[in-house]
Amino acid sequence: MTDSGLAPESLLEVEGLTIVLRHRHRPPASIARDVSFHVNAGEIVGLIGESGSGKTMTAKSLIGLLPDRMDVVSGRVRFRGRDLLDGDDPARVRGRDIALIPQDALHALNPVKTIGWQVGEPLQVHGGLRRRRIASVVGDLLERVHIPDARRRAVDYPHQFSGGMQQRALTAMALSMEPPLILADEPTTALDVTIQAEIIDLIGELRDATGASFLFISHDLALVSSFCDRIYVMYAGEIVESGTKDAIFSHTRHPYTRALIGAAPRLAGNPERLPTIPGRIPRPHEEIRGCRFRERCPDAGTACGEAPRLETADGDHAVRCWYA
Amino acid sequence: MPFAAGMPDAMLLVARKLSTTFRGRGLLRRGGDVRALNEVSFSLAKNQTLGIVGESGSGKSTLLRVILRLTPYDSGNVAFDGAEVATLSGTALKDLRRRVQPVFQDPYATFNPRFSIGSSIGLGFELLGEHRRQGVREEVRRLLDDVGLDPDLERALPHELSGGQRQRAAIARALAVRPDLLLLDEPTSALDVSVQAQVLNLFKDLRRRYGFSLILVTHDLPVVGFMCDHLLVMKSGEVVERGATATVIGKPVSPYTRALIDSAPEVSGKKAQPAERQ
Amino acid sequence: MIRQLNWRRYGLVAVTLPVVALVFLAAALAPVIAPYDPFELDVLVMLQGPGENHLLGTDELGRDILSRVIHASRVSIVVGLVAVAIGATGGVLIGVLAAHFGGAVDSVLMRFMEIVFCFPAILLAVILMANLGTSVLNAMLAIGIIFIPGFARLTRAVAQTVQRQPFLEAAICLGVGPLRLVTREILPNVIGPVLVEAAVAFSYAVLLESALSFLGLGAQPPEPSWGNMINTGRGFIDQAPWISLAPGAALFITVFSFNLLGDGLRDVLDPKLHD
Ligand SMILES: Nc1ncnc2c1ncn2[C@@H]1O[C@H](COP(=O)(O)OP(=O)(O)OP(=O)(O)O)[C@@H](O)[C@H]1O
Ligand SMILES: Nc1ncnc2c1ncn2[C@@H]1O[C@H](COP(=O)(O)OP(=O)(O)O)[C@@H](O)[C@H]1O
Ligand code: SF4
Ligand SMILES: [Mg+2]
Ligand SMILES: [Mg+2]
Repeated sequence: MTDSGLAPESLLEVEGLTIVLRHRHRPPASIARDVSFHVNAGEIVGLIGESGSGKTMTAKSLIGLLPDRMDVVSGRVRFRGRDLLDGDDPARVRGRDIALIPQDALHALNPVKTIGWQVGEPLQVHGGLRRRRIASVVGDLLERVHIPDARRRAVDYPHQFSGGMQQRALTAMALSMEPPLILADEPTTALDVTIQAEIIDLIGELRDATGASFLFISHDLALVSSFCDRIYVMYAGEIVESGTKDAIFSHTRHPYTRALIGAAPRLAGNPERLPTIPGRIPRPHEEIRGCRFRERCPDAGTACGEAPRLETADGDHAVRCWYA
Repeated sequence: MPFAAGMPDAMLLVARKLSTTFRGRGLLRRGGDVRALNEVSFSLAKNQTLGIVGESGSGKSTLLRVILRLTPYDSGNVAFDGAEVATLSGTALKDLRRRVQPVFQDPYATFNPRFSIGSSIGLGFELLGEHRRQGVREEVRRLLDDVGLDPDLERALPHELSGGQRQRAAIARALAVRPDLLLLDEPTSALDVSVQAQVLNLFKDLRRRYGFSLILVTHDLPVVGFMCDHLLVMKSGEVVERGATATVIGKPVSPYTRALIDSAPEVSGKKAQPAERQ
Repeated sequence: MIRQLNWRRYGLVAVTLPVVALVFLAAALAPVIAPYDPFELDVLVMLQGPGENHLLGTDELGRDILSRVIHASRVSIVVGLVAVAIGATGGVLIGVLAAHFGGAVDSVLMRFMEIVFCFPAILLAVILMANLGTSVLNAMLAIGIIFIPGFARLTRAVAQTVQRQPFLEAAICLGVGPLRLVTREILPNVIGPVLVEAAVAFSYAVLLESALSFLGLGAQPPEPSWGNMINTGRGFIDQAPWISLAPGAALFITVFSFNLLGDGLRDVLDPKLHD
């Protein structure tokens, strides 16, 4: 990370964030280790990595939503120059300043409340608008996320919505307070391509209209490659590569990023078998010496017994690998 | 109808003008009726692989459920191996149940949380008439090995497996009854690219070994590009285009298909375009 | 080892289980541990307050209260067990049938259950016993019938949730028959919630039985039961409050601990509290 990361226009700066999970019988396990990144005003930043790499917990730590036995043990999180970790009550930041579109649409909505009620809830809590006004804003929001026949379907319950529609309703909910930063945790995973592209277009639209920034979390490289300005690749709790979209996809340096890109099928001209990554991502409590990707790395060499540091290669392109 | 024509004998599955409507429920019929399938026709030859793509709510899952007889249909018909699915009963129905197996999207909910993986997979062998406990166990372990899982996972409970492992176990359960047709509903949507690659490779390997036909529903066009020789595009419950995958992707006829292809992001830094909605 | 107990999950059960066990033990060993014969009259010690010879005092006929309270626990526990067994068996059966068949069968069964549910329990018991005759056996039957709707509703709700799960559809697609679907896929998921309900229902049965005995509809004197003891004590509440207070306290402790046990079981069975 260069000093430009601390440029004045930074909306969110995260430095050296380490999250641990306390365990009854085992020593604490690190969920995120020394994670640093920044999001500038009006930027769409991608955070990608395999399941269990710590993307969701990193995002949740920013707004104080970590689960019970998980804590931030070191690091700094500054939002508009304000320190979020000590001082402010994270609940006050939630929704108004930083909104989260949660990962699991199918369980994030309350089954006994109407979609409209739930989308309007932040407005009720923060906004103090009149009921009729809320209903109309909710209608607009649902239309914005392309719920067909939005006003009529606002009275539907979640089970009457398809998975994709539920995810769109959650997106509408996050947009309701027009917060400057939106953490979108796999907001399109449950969606099909056309709607996915629409949501992404919508995110771009919103950024242009309101100057809002997005931290877009996904395991879908193809998706991230299509619209994020800058990308952070996370593996087993660490950022292993970061840079502009072009740097990551056209000048890939880290073996893990390369393997991920190789594993995705193409529309045409696919090989008979897709290349895969052997082994699996280490669990947080597993003791690992040296590079955390070493077990699975095709390029591993003698140096890799020592843990590599995130080094800036050229410009904004940083890599955590001895042989990159 | 590029592949429905000719040789009806070789057809494993034939659907003609299949329509399904979900009635609005509740006192005020909120939401109203939804026509989930509207005169859908297609056919699948033995040993074919058919991909079905389309936006969410276009009726893809409903179509699979109708074939499985989990959802009734209003009109038209669907025949599996020459027999009308709706009229089957008794042993014929049991036979259909065995020969057509689903693998659903959500690997978290497809196993009964109270039973071990081995017990859930073993059920299939029991239904095939293998009643010796040891016999079932051996078959289960062999099958787990076949789908690339540690045979010792037979004792694991569903929540102890990762998403990818659970999806492999779900595939093993489906294969236990030696089906002729697998219906896959977004089988890799919940999985990482790296795990998706393993599961897709696995399907190809297993198909070579077991020789089943396959229908794969997905929102991910590149997955169809890798897996399927034929492609069916759906929109609002209707079939808008079908044909050989390479042809459809190379020269789409319908504007909707074109939009779908243009909006499919590929790993290349290409910009995703929102599809035109007419 | 005790240090490592997961209190959030097992705490309530760990605390209430010994109390519940004690109540059961007292009932089982009543003849052995009761200091006196509960029927033995002793006119010399009528209405004696708690003291050295009679720990909880004596009643108007000079019978030892402690011994009667211990013996009375047998009635309560047998009534509780049998009533819960009747209620759970009937309720689970009806609930599963309603969920499985749906449509008209479901409507008819559940409307009927709701009608039963609408009656105040005690009133329903009184009506049933008026027709069946007053005896402990009929009290058990009446209370059991009252429990059926609660178990039926619970079972139906759980079974309906399970029925929408992909794993059930996967089993259907494998060709599993309806009976096997119920016994293999649905019942194992129903057992947990039913167990919780059973603990609470048990405490309620004890309470109801006491109420019926209090009204003279349950255990008939001289057979001791907490309810008829409280009723007898009513006449002497000024001179000898212990006659009512002792069975009252036993009743309270039993009902309270079974209720807590129900809550505790809920914690144990809740997968979200898994460590
Ligand atoms: N409530 C919890 N208690 C304990 N550990 C947890 C909890 N939630 C997550 N973890 C662990 O924290 C690590 C990071 O999880 P996280 O949810 O951040 O991953 P992710 O990158 O978002 O993955 P996915 O792509 O599956 O959403 C994982 O090892 C996970 O098992
Ligand atoms: N059980 C149901 N009750 C009512 N409507 C349903 C039900 N299942 C699906 N639908 C509706 O039918 C249409 C097609 O749904 P589905 O087949 O799930 O689409 P897809 O799988 O292509 O996303 C949608 O409009 C959906 O809301
Ligand atoms: S440091 Fe070594 S093991 Fe780690 S990614 Fe680089 S080459 Fe592979
Ligand atoms: Mg996540
Ligand atoms: Mg679907």
